Amino acid sequence: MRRPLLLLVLTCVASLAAPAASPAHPERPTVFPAYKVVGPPKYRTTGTALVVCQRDSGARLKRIYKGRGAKTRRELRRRLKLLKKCRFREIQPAVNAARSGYRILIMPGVYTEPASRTTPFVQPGDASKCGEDFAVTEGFDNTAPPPAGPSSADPPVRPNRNHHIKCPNSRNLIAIIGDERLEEDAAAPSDPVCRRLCNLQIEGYGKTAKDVLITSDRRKTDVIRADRTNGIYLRRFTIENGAFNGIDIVETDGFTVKEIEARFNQNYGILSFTATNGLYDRIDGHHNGDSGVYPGSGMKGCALENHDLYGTCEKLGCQRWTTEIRNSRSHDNVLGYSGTAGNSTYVHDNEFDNNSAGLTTDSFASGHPGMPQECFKWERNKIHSNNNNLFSAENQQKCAAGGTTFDQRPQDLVCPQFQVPVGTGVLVAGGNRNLLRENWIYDNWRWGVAQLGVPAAVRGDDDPAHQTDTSNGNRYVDNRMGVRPDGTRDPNGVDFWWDEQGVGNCWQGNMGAGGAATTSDPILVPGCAKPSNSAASNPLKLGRQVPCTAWDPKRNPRPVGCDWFDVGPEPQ
Amino acid sequence: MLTVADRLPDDRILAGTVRNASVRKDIALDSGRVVVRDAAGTRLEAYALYSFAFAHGLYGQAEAPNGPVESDRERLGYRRTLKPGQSAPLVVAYRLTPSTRPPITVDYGGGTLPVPGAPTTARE
Repeated sequence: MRRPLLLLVLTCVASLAAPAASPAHPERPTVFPAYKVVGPPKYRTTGTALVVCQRDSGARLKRIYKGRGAKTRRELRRRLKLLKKCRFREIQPAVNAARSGYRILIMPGVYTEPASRTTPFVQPGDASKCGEDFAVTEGFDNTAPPPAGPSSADPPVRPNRNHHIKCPNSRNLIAIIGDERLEEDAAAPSDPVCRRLCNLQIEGYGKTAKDVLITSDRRKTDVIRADRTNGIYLRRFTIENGAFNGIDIVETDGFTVKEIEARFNQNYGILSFTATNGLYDRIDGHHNGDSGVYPGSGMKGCALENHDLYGTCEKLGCQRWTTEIRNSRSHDNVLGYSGTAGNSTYVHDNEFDNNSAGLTTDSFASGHPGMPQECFKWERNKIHSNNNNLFSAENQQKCAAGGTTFDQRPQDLVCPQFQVPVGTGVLVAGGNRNLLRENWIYDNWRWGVAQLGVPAAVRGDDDPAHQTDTSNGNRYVDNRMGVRPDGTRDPNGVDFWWDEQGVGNCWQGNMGAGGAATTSDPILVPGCAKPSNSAASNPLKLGRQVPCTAWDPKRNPRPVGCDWFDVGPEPQ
Repeated sequence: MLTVADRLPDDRILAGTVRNASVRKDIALDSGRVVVRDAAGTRLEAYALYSFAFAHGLYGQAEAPNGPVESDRERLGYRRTLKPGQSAPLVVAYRLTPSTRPPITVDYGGGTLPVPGAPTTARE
């Protein structure tokens, strides 16, 4: 039998062969909600209040407000008076008793939610009312031939919307479900509508986020899941130990998360997904296995009604932002910020530091509504010292030790969920029409800012016309590179790295210490008067990133050819 | 094209395309079958992907602890099926040792492909 002849052609590749469609989804099948609310919800001091407390809340209040000042004593009196109205020891029963517009006031204490913890974690096929309510998140429309090689045994299933409705605490320590209508076809959910628990406000009633701790068992997927909960306002508490997210806001129009410490979650501190009109304010996200904050699958500001129209912002411009992140700090995570299809985010006056990488936004994955990513506006952030190598051999060995799972590991052990180029301040991987302006970006030992293109096939879009539809129209202007706000020189490895692909990209007005020129690879980058115009990337540069795809902490923790986990010495 | 990883001086990255030159038969490519050998037939530590861009799996390590799920395998370039005349990108990374003897060859399971030219540096 003659074997088919395979030729190796050593040449630059401008386009990709199209793989079969793979519309998988990491969440559940989701769509964007209708855009109705004008802006994120504001804090309220009115509305029916349900009070939640612990036995020691009174003692804690007295410790927290122990001063003799008139204001302090007044605050203490007010809270002690409210404490007398406490009818709940757990938060979930208060949520269950609430109606739209209610406030839930959580008095200082530690909230473990014992009833929720003992609710069975339902697996597919279990004899449970929700045992069949799962979405197979890959395989839809997948016409690929049988696999040529060994395949993963991991079932690609996720609880669908019906699962969360029927068994709200199967996967969520605290579930806030705004729409309890069961889906006829959960794989194609109805248009998101908030029918109950809308405009709910849940707040810690201590002085700081640390006074109220909501801690999960490291098995429940989300600590708080807010699903179709338009107008939700979450404030002033610490949340930890989610096996996926600390807070997960899904299909929601209008949300505010404020003064929240989100830590020790396996993936994300706070995640919003197909949610819009959002505000993250004064968040402290740290020690999460992916990112501290994740505004992913964001609604495009240019497509508030026709969410799924392709290429809309190219024609209309970015227009407004749909999620704002401000006055926050995200540190000691694998990523400070991440957002696949993180569209139309306005991220300003934050600090992203001591992560493996500071911020990434990308068009890597399939199944994320709003692809490809576009239209962030990030300004006045401090993005520095993102050299925390959580991919070191030592850390990876700890994570893999004995096949331990999240619930068996020390709380402060951060185990990477996805690979990142350690030592990077900002990575824009497959982004369009983004604006990075007036940030302080320093002491990132690999790249201050990197941009690379991502072919559409990688996200499961096989349309030949879409294959070079990323890395276009991005602007990097007036950033201070390699210098701290106090003027001290603190260089990045290279200030700007670019794979040399894309149309309409420009770098202008960026300065180093003392007004010095920035460093870049390539040495010359286009200014905004004559931006880039290159359909193809530099294959040497892009090719060098490909081996990092093979990272697998168990079987391939240090792929041949991948240098992302080797941070060089501190640049001088 | 051949390049060197920035911080891994012994690692080489070969980037190119493969084309099914058959007029009749499809060919199923599996990156796991790719083997890199030196002139002495010694197998080098290596990895291959039928892709020309970095990407990561849809599921994090906790969700897919046994490696990429099926749809990701296709998407990330672990496998491809090429129809006659069709081509796909290929990146092969391999590690040289002091005893490695050129020339290097890539064995894709259905045949052997020579790696032309000497390794270049990252800046070439």
